[in-house]
This record gives sequence, structure tokens and C-alpha cells, in this order.
Amino acid sequence: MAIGPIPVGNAGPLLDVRNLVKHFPGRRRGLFGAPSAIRAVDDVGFTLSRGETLGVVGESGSGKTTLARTLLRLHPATSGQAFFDGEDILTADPAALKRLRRRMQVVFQDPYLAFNPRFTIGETIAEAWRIHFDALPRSQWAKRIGELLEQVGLRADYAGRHPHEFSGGQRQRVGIARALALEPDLVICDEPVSALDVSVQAQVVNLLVDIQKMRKLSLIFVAHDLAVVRHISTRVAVMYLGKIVEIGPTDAVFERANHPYTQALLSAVPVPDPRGREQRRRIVLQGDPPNPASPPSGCRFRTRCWKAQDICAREEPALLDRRGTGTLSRCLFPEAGPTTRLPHGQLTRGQE
Amino acid sequence: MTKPSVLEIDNLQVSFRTSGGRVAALNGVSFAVGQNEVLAVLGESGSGKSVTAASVMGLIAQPPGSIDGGQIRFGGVNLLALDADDHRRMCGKRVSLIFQDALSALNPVYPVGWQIAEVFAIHGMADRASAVRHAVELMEAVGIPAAAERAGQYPHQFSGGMCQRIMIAMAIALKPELIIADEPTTALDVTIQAQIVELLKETHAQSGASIMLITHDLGLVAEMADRVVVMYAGRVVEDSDVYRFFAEPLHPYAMGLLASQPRIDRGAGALQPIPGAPPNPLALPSGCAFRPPCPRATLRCAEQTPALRKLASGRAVACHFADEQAL
Amino acid sequence: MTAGIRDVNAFDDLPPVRPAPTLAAMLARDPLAVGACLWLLVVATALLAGQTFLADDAVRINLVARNLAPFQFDANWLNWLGTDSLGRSLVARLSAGAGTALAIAFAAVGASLILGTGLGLVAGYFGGFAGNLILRIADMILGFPTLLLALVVLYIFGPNIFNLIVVLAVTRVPAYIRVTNAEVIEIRERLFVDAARALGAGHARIVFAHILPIVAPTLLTLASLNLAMVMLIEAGLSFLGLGIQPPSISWGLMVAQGRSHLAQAWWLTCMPGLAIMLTTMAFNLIANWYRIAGDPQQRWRLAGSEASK
Repeated sequence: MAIGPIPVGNAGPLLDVRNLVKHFPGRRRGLFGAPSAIRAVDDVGFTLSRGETLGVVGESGSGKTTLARTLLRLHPATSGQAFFDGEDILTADPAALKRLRRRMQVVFQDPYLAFNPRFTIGETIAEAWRIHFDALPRSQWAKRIGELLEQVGLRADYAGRHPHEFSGGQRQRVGIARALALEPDLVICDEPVSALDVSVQAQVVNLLVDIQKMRKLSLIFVAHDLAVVRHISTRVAVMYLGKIVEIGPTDAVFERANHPYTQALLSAVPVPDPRGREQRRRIVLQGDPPNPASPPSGCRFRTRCWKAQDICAREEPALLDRRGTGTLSRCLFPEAGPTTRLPHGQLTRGQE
Repeated sequence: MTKPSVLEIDNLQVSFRTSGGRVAALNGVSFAVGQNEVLAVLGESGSGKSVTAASVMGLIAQPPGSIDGGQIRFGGVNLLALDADDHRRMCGKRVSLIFQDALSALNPVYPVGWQIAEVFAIHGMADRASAVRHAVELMEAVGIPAAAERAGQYPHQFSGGMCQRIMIAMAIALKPELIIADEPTTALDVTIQAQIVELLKETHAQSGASIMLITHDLGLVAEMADRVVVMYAGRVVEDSDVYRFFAEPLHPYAMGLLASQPRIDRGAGALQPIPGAPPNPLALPSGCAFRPPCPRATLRCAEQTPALRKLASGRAVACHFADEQAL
Repeated sequence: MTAGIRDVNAFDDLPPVRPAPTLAAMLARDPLAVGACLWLLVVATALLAGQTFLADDAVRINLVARNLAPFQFDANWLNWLGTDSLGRSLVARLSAGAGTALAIAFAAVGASLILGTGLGLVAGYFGGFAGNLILRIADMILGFPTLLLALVVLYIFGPNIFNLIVVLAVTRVPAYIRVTNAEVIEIRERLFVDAARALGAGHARIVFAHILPIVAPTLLTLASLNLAMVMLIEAGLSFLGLGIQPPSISWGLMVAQGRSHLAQAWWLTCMPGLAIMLTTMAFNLIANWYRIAGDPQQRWRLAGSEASK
């Protein structure tokens, strides 16, 4: 695989992640044993174009949040590269990193913890310009704070309020305003709506979609809620135990899933429509995901997979486009036919 | 609705004292759980669905809470007329509870088998040895592999899904007439949720107990429930069988909720959120609490709180303007 | 410019802004803090007087008026709080002693607060070898009896004010290191710190804008308690002859000197003791008030009554 940075300019992808690995030190085995590494993210690679929204889905322990935090360099990567417009985020020196962060922002999951309780929301937003002092002259701060608040559907005169005065959905809007303050090219959203009620969640999702379109932002949208991801993403990556097991255009992944795990995940999501539920067949995976400190050999999904054969234990499948549909998957026995539910919720294929 | 009901809640009113003043959590909640029925109580945070469940179980701490009126009839007895001990004794045997966070609902310092056996011991149902044997049987019944060995393990050695199975084992141990499941799948991953839903369905089919499913998850309601009670700002706004509810919700809030739900079986397309912020329980609007974001609201909604009206079809709705279309 | 955004201004239901209460208004809502401020005002006045026109009275011997009991308001006002065995006015001596007592206490507590907080921040925020080293040294100092350490050092280097301050400061530093370290480790992991890092904030900004303001109220409370402790240790050292040396005057020294006359003239010990107690209590009350007034989420407790509906 070519390692050199890709050419700068609008031609290449905005973000090019290659072989990203993040291990956390695990528990030491015995008094003298070497500590086992928890392979939270293991050999992850993808690209993200300008204006594209990549959804990253997975269950707890899949490494999706670690991936987001590693890309933001909130903790160091173990190895790999992540080129943002040709510059490697993971090895950038402090000055370069600060430059990169100006173009790469984040919205966190928990709107109650993501704000300094002592700052007003105006101060919270202005912190971006305080850090990047050449971003906006101080005389324009107040005006710009008002504009940003209005853009996310809050009143400009709320700037003097503290976070505890707002509801969860409103705080998440402030979080989006903060992320937009530096006019970034990329916003990484780590479970931005999973702490919110359904009716409020829809407001925040719509807001993200609108802002993404208006500003031609690239979004990485990390979530466990597949329905939200389907709604917002142009491409989807499915993670299992630190690996991307399937990545491709949203509709292709949701309607013609290659990987058995993706199928199981999709079929597990309850559809808010009771019609035909007695006939509906779903793939119910047995057991729990294995411990990420000692993942299975070969294919990591084989311990819960109903198609697993001997070769799956020996050989780790590469991430390849196995059916020419533009969807890459890590499975030696990918599904051939469509796997989605029919409009009334029946699953065309299911577990026997 | 011809079945007799096991639980009837009638005009229940509960309030809490807070730093901001007295807050009404339930403003006259009425519904019934039929025999062998799965009733979903659907609502978002602050709707009062969990307070309702806690009231049935006698788990409202007084103070700061106070039950200001109404009745909860179970087995012909008004639970609210009993003192706290009798209430809990009555419930412990015949009503059981499944919590959202199973790991913290289990005691970390006792083996799980011991904890299940303890359920029998508390009610004097069995001697220690047979209680332990029962416990292992129950663990097998809820699909815990190698139950005999695992009975000696502690809660932290089980995954979230397994803890929820243990909770379910404890809930069905005494063959209750009613199981209250408070967000039983919310804390779990999707594939584990599917396992637990299957288990709950099996449990329901085999035990014949009624289930009161407290949830915010429309998908779970569609998957499991026979009937759904929608709560908003401490009131029941709709009470309907599940098929007609999803096909034709009657209350504007229920319509809004369904329209704002992203769906995995549909592609992109704008979600239609309910505008505005959720109701502030400290400052509810006059009349109908859903009036501010409601597209149908008129002056009448501000002046007169709509009562829960029974319609010809057996459904009920608390809206002046809701009516069934010919279906 | 907001074209393309749906449901703009959907949120206009926040309760009206309560005008942010001014510091004075918040102080007025806490009678104890007001009392504390008044007492500190008295101390400050006495301190000024003690350095100026009362300086001579503090050392003027008047054998006629020996061991006068306090609260005899028909006498000279200088003797209202009594006199000592040489007839010196206690009012004047307390005023003169205030300067030394507070100067030592403030210097020692201030130095340990700054040093301990700084080291604690380093240990908590960066951790690593340096952090561990700091914590181990702090433990070593904590494990050593304060008074013994002070005795040895002052005996070797001589009992002067500067050495006294250094000794007192060093023995108090570990408390600040420990408290700061523990709090920083917790706050460092909070999500808003990550948010600041993702914005590109450097270590200095994270420490001084995000972490320190949250630790500060705890540290100030600790410092107010330490003021009392330092004044009392100073009294003990003076009693042992290693603290302030006569003819200098200090509250601690006065407590120590009065001890031998406790049976005949209780006021010689009690008056300076009372001064120490009231002053430290005042600082403590103000620290408590600040803890609430400085926290936007708690501030409403000190807002006007219309907000506490």
C-alpha cells in the first residue's frame, strides 16, 4: 500500500485514514506476565470526501468512539496514519496540530458534561477564537456568537446564560454552534443524539443535516442507532471488535448487506410498525461479543456467526469489494441477495 | 378489552417537592392492564411513565414525593390504602419489576444464584437447598449457559445482557401476575436487545403474566405490545391497541412522535420533529400541555384541559379535536 | 443568512433572564459573610492603628495600671480590653500584634497555597515521574511532625520571621498538593476538557481556564482553615522561644506569654486567642460564601427572593 501523503488540493479526499491502530494497556496476567493489549481500534482505514457524511456504527466495544477520539488526537494512536488534507493528524507537531484542529471539530455525546459549567454559552463559543486569536477580531465576537446561536435555533440573547439553564437538546445545539465557530471542514460527531429523546433527537438530526448541506461540511457521525445513521449518512462503516467489517454507500449497506454481522445488526433493530410482526423473522445472534483483549483468531465475528467454517478461524478476511457493488466487506462468504426488510417489515432472509 | 384487568390505575396524582417548588409528576393518570396483556406505557423523559411504575410498586419516597389522590387497584385491593409494608408484601409476590440497569439492580457482593434463591427465601417458599436448585433451573430457563457453574459467580462477571436475563429470572421466580419492565432493553446493545426481546416474548407466552412495559422506544412497542398508553406531561393522552396506534395515531403528540422517529426501513427524507422544547414541569401551559407545539391548538385548548375520551372503537384520546377517520 | 435551517427559533421558552446578582447583592444575602467582612474591617483598622499611633502605646509601661481587668469602660479606652503585668494596653498590643500575626499567616499560607497548588497541578495534570516524585515528597513531609520539623529548622537556622514563614509554608504545602492532585485527576477527564483540547487549547489554557477555577474554592477553604493552624503553630513556637522574639509583638506570642498568668489575668491569653479565632472564622465564612457565589449553578441561592419562588 502506498504510504506517501496524498496531494493537497480539492482533488483528493479530505480525510484519508490508513491502518489506524489504537491499543489500550489491559490487565496484567499474573505477577510477571506482560499486560495484554485491548485492541480498541485495529487496522482501520477509510477515506472521507469533502461534503460527505460517513456514519460509523457498532455496538459497545466495537471501537467506534475510540476511533473518533484517536482521529481528534484526544489520545495518541498506536500506529497508522490519518491524512487530513495531506497532513498526518497523528504525527503533527503541536503547531501543526493546532492548525489542523481549526479545521476539524467535534460534537460530543453528553450535552451535560461537554460544557464547562462556569462558562456562559457565549464564553464557551468564544473560547475557539480565544485559542485561535487570529480567527476573528474581538470586536466581532458578540455579533458572531449571536449569529451562530440563531443558526442552531437558539436566541442570540441566550449568550449570557450558563449551560445548566438549558435542556439537553438545547445544549446539544450549543455544542454544534461551538463546533462551527471556527468554520471547520470536518465535524466529528460522537453519538450526538443518543442522550436525547426521540422528538428532540429529530430536531438535532435535522439541524446537522441542514448545516452540513449549507456549509458543505464533511461529517463523521458515530452512533449505535442504525436508524439515525441511515437517515444522515451518505456512506456507512460498520465496526465489530475494533475492525471495520463493512463499509459502503448507505443504501447499499442497508439494503444489500454483505457481512453477516451487518445483517444481524440490521435485523435486530425493531421497526416501529407492528404489522406482520408475528411473521417477521430476525437474526438473533447468540451470546455476547468476545473480549477485545483476546479477540478470536481469523475472522473476529466467527464465534457468533452462523456461517462460520474452519477457514474463518485460520484466515482473516481482507476488506474487499466482493460483489462489485462498491461495498467493501471482511467476509469470505458474503451474502448475495438483498437483505432488507420489505416495507411491512418482513425479513426476506433470516436465520434458520 | 373484554378481558378482566389485573391492575387498574384510576386518576392517580403524584407530586414532588423540588428546589423550584412543588412539581406535579402525574396529573390524574388512569389506565388498566388486562390479563395476559402486554401494555406499553410510552413516553419521553419527564412524561411520568417511570413515576407511574414506581407508584404501583410503592417505591415513591415520601417526602419528597407525595401521592395526592387516586387509586391503584390490584387484585381487588386499593394499594394506596395499604400501609407501606403491606403494599410491598402484596407487590413482592404478585408483581415483579425488571429494571433498566440490571447490573446496579443486583447486589455486587452476593453470587447471582444466591440472589435468585433469596427471592424464594424472602417469601418463605422453599428451603435453602431447593431454592438454589430452583434458581439454577430459572437461570437455564432464561438462557444462561452453564447455569449450574455460573450460579456461583458474581454480577460483575456477567455481561449487561446476561445481567438482564438474571433480572428476568428473578422477576418470573414467584410466578407473578404482573411484570413491570422499566426500559428493559434501553441500556443494551442492539443485538443483545433482540435477544432480550425474544426472551421477554417467550416469558410472556409461557408464564401468561401481564407485562407493563415502560419505554420510550417505539420499535420495542411495535415489537411486543398489545396495547399502548401514551403519556405526556404527567397525563395519558392516548390509549389504543397497538395496530391502530401505529396505523393511525389519534393524539397530535403521538402523531408527532411517530413522524420524528427515524426508521431503519426507510432511506433519507426529512424527519419531522415536534417543534419547541419538551414541556417544563415547573411551568406547564394552561389547558392542554401539548398546546404550544400543537398544529391544531385553538383557544379552547388553553381554556379547557381535554379529558381522556373513550371512542366508539374502544380507543381513548385526550384531545378536543381528535377523531377516528373511517378506517 | 439562516436560509436552509428548519425550525429556527423553536426555542423561546427559557424563563426570563434573572439579572446576574452583583457581588455586593450576593454578599448582602449571607449575614454570616457580612459579619465576617465587618470583623475583618475592624482587624484592618486595628492593624493600621497598631502600625501608626498605637505603636508607642503597645510598649508603654504603666506600672500603676498593672493587670487591669477588661470591660471597665470608665477607664482610658486603651485599657478597655485590660492591661498586662507591666500595665501595657491590650488594645494597643493586639493592634500592634495584628500586623505580625497576619503578615506571617498570610505569607506562610499564601506561599504554601501557591507552591502546593502549582505542584499539585503538575502532579495531577501531567503525572508521570515528576508527578510521582512530587507526591512522594509531599507524603514524606506529611509524615513528619510539623512542630518537630519547625523546631529543628528554627534551632539550626535561627528564629527570625523569614525562617518562620518558610518553615510554616513548607509544612503546609503537602495538603495543597494532595487536594489539588486529587481534584485535577478527576477534572482532567471531564468531557469539557476534551472539548477544549479539540478546539486546540494548550496545556496552559486548560489548566488555568478550565481546571483551576473549579479547584479554587476547595483550596481557598483549605487555606482559610490553614490560617488558623499557622497562627496557632506560631503561638506554640513562640512559647518555646523559637517564634517571634520579644520585644516584637504577635498574637501567637501574646497567647504564649499570657499562659503563665492564666490564673490571675485570663484576658492576656483569651483576648489574642479570640482575635485569632474570630479572624480565621471570618476567612472561613468568606471562603464558604465565595464557593457559592463563584459557582453559576449555585449562585441563585444568593439571588434575591423573587428568584427563590
